[in-house]
Amino acid sequence: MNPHSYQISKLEMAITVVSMVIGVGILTLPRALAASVETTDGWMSIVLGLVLNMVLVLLIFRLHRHFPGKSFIGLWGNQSVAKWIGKLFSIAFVCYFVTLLAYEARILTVVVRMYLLDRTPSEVTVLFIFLATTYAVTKGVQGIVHLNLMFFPFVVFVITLIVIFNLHDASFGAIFPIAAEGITPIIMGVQETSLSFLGIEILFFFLAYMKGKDLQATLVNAGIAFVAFLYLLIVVMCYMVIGLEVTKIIAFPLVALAKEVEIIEGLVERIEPLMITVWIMSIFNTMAIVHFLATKIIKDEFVKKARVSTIAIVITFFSFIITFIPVSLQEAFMLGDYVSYFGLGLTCFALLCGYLYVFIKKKSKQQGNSEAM
Amino acid sequence: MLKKLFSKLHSDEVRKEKEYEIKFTGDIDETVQSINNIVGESDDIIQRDFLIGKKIRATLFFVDGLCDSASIEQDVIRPLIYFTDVKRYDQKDFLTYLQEEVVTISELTTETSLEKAMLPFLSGETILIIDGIKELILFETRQFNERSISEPESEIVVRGPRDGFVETLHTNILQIRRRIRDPNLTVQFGALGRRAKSDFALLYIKGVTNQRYIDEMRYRISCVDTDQVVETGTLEQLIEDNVLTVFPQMLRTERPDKTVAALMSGQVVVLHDGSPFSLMAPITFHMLFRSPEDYYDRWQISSFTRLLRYLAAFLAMFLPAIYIAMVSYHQGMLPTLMAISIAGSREGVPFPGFIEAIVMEITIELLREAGVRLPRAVGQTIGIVGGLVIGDAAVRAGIVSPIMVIVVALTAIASFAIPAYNVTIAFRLLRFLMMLSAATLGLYGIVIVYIFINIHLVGLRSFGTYYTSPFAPYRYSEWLDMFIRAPLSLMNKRFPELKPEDKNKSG
Amino acid sequence: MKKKWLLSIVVLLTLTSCWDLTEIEEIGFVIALAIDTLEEEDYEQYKKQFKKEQNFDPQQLYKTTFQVVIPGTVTEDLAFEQVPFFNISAVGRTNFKTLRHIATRRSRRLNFEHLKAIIINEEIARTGAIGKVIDLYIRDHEMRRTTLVFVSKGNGFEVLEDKLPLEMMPGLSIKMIQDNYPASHGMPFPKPIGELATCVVEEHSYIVPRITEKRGVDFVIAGAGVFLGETNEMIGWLGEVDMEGYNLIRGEAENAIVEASLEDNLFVVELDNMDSVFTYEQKDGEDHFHIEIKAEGFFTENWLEGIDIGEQEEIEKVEAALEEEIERLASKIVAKMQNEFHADIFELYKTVQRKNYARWKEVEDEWDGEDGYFSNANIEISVKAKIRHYMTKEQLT
Repeated sequence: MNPHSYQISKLEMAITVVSMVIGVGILTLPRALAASVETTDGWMSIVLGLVLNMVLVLLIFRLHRHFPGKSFIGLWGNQSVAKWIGKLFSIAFVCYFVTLLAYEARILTVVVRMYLLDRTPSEVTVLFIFLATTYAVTKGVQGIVHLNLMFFPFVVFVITLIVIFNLHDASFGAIFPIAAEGITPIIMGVQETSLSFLGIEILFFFLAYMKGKDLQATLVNAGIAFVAFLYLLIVVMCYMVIGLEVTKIIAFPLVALAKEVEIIEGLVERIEPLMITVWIMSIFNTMAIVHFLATKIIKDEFVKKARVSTIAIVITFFSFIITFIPVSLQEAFMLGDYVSYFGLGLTCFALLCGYLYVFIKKKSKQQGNSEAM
Repeated sequence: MLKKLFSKLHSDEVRKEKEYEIKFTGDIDETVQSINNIVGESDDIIQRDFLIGKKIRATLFFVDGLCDSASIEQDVIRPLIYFTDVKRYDQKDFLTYLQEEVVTISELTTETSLEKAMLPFLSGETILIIDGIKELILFETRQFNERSISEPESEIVVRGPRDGFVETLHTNILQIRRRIRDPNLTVQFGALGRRAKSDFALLYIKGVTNQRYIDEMRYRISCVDTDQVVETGTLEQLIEDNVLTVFPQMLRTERPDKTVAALMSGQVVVLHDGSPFSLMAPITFHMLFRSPEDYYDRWQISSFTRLLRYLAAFLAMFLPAIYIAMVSYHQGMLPTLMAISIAGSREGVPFPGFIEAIVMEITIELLREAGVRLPRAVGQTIGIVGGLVIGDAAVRAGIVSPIMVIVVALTAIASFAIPAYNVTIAFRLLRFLMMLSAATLGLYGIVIVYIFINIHLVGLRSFGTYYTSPFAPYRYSEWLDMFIRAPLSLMNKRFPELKPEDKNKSG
Repeated sequence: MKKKWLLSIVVLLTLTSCWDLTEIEEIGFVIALAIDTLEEEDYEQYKKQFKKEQNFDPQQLYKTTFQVVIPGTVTEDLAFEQVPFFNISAVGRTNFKTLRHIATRRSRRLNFEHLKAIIINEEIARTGAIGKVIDLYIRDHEMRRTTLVFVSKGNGFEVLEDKLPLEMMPGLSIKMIQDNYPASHGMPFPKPIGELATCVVEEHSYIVPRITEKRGVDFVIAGAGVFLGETNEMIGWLGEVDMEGYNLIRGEAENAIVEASLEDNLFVVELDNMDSVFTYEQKDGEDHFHIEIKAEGFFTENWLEGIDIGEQEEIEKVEAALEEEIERLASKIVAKMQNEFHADIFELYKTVQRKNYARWKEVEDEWDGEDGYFSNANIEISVKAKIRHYMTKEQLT
């Protein structure tokens, strides 16, 4: 098997990142923003968060341009010290991915229990989604990327539907006054929004499948700008339709937004089960990517001989256990916060180390050159 | 193995139209070589070498089946071979002499360019090359006697040709040859089956079809090692990429026009003696929803029916499952009045929605199967009796609700709206899986199974082509011919996923 | 490989039983419900019983009446002879407990996914408990945010007993009647439970449509209860005329009609298009509001004498009379709110919030209420009315 036979095009990469980023965040962001900003200026925080993440994406692409065809773990090479740093990073990333997988699964069960099946044990719903992701992992990187392409239009379509059908209920005055409390709350909000774009760290691994000349951040940045646009629409819609105060206290404001929708009276009475259905697809995408990356890192770095499916099942097992560690919804959200902070920290730290490595390599090369002269 | 099957080695050279304008000098070997370069790879091109009057070398070329071979034998070969007045050969008017006094065929023309001779040749005229003469003689030997070709039964169209393939391989090839007079259309014969050794033909258009697929098809067929291949359906199963799937990885059709369209788009076609079905590969998922009619009607009409077919596929697969999910799990999604009336009509039905649906679905599958087997005259009666009587009686007996009958009927109708029969079967099978999952986990079950099907599809290949293209990976030019069918003038690119060697259809 | 997966899926599917399976015909759809206080003697009786069981006095007791569909009668031809619903009441301290009492008496599980209307008794509304009373009906996932909420004058459960001719059941009728709001002037905008929840949380004054039972025959949706934002207590009623003024000020009286008089003769104008603009200014430490109402309409009924409606001058006279009438209606309700109820139900505060945020922060806590900033604000009303056309120009007089 030649892992590099499949090449991701620029657009596919962008959509993969978008699919990864849209996950739990889209359901909970309006609440988190309303709670931390406390005015209707949350949307500005989204823009700031976007800019922050765009810079990160740019930096990741820049870093990988030095190592075309290599993943972040692969770029450390085989030299003694660098190799061990690589191994450390791979352990950190695996831990991160496994916990993230568990967190997403946990939120999934909460949502499914709340809106679709209220008496089915959570274990069963989680089991089925893990079965699906495990199966997806066996299809390899091409399968994962193509799955993203297949589900992406559904997600966009349903979100657009919700926004459009809520327009007539929206009171546009609700987002005024702008920046009444000053800049401070907006900065507070950035804390939330910068985390909501988390998912860009998959670039560390997926860029290995791109052609060297395709390593340009523009399209991926356009992709996360698109996500930001969706976030913005949803957050503003929540403020305009259900109000700031209520947004603060509803667990999943996007679902509440969907509940407000009444499509041409009599056709479909309520669309939130449909919305949840499509959201399950999007969270499946996120989970499949995470599951795949965890599997891939383990296979490439630790047990080269094991079969992909075996590793994927072992990861499922661990994630399954972690899924049920948080007892309440609040604890689950706390787990989510920890995971996100860890992810963001890891991304920044990895970037730092990567650039340091490039710098050292360049230095030593220059030294080598000058000595040769 | 390969060499055994294909008597002629194919040349890798791709003939573009300009390249075969070869001036011939009168040297017969050179001319024959030129013609062989153009059409020599096809096995239905017959080359006949003989001597005129035991002295002068001459060669006849004709397309097997398109020409009246009795007439060639009687009126061309016999007089030429028995011709004795060799002296006349050196005279300048030898050609005129032959025309006027030797050959007894009714119509003939002479041609000085090989390029111009190609079109009449491929439509059934015979070429005669005589050593030392700088002109080609074309005999009118076209044969028009139609065999009993009937309209294909499994793929009926309103607008479009009424002819279908028959069980004879050569008749089928003729129907294609008659539609494509491109010398690059290549037909290669071979024999299949250890004992049966039945004939099959491999068709493709040089310079359009990607060489990879031709080689791959050849290789796969050459690997078939079985006693007998009866039908292309058998062959299909022996050479497909993935055996563990319900989705077909090759299209089959009874229609020559559909086959021709496939050839033109860069697919490889396999015909088998004894089967009225041609096989086309590689294919992708969206091709399953195409009917040749789409290209004969105006584009608005075709786009509408295309969308209707996708809707039909959706209904055929999901409708009973959605009904079960709504009735047993998500009653809130139904409009209030509908929920009340469904509840009212189910009042007294002893079974849960799932059992009710399964009973009715199995009944309708039985009816369908029985309808196919029964003699044609009785078949329709059974359909009506079964459908109406059982449906009505079941409702009256309170075993099923009237809404369920509507759901089942709608599902059955929807499944007939998909053009390819083997695809319908795939959807029918998946429907039962969907129903089962809907009965256990409601909408969540449906979406999980849907995700599973999608994962399965992205892993599927047809001759190495991604099955879900042009959707994943995105191939925009083909989107014009996916959910809708754009005006023909806009669709000037061949489907890039098939990696055709000639990328443009027109323009 | 794939086989193994498929196998495991099938096995799992068959192993799992169907936890959430409830067939549609085993469900009792609740279409409407009314929450009332208990009558004196009933209250005593329930209290006694409660004390016997629990050994202490109940903090509160509500009586909830559920209207449940009988689906079988709907589909059969007898539909309009049989009553296709039944009402069932239960008493309890909290909504959910009350709900569960029903389970001991009827086999069908109550399902609220098609709940159309919630009627809350005036007496409960006046205690300020409206937020708590509706809490269950918005918190539970079965509930929807579009269920309409009403306040009843008199007993709520009586409304649910009036089956109207041509209509299936009161619960559905309530929603359908409420849909007439653009045409009826005295009917307030519908208040879906989602919106009401927003109002309760935001602590700004609001109104909730009123529903009144009439002589055991039918019911009327007109007028509204005024709720004070701070306490969520209902402080009084707005009548139909008040509602007309309110709708005009809010610019929501799109299809309403206005009866005005010119020289003691009446005429009617049907509004076709209207809007209102609030402007705010802070002058000398006082709040000045200007409400500009713009209305356009058709001249639909004529009782005037000696006026040729085709003449421009005459029509201007008619327009002036119309403006005057609209202004009268609007000022009446504004005066009532400022002097009697001291509650800003017009959402004037939003204008302040937008225009002068600093000022808003200052007055936020004392906006409503007696001597509040709202009551002391200067509110000016100006009206611009236009008569677009006058239908056919028949001269009957």
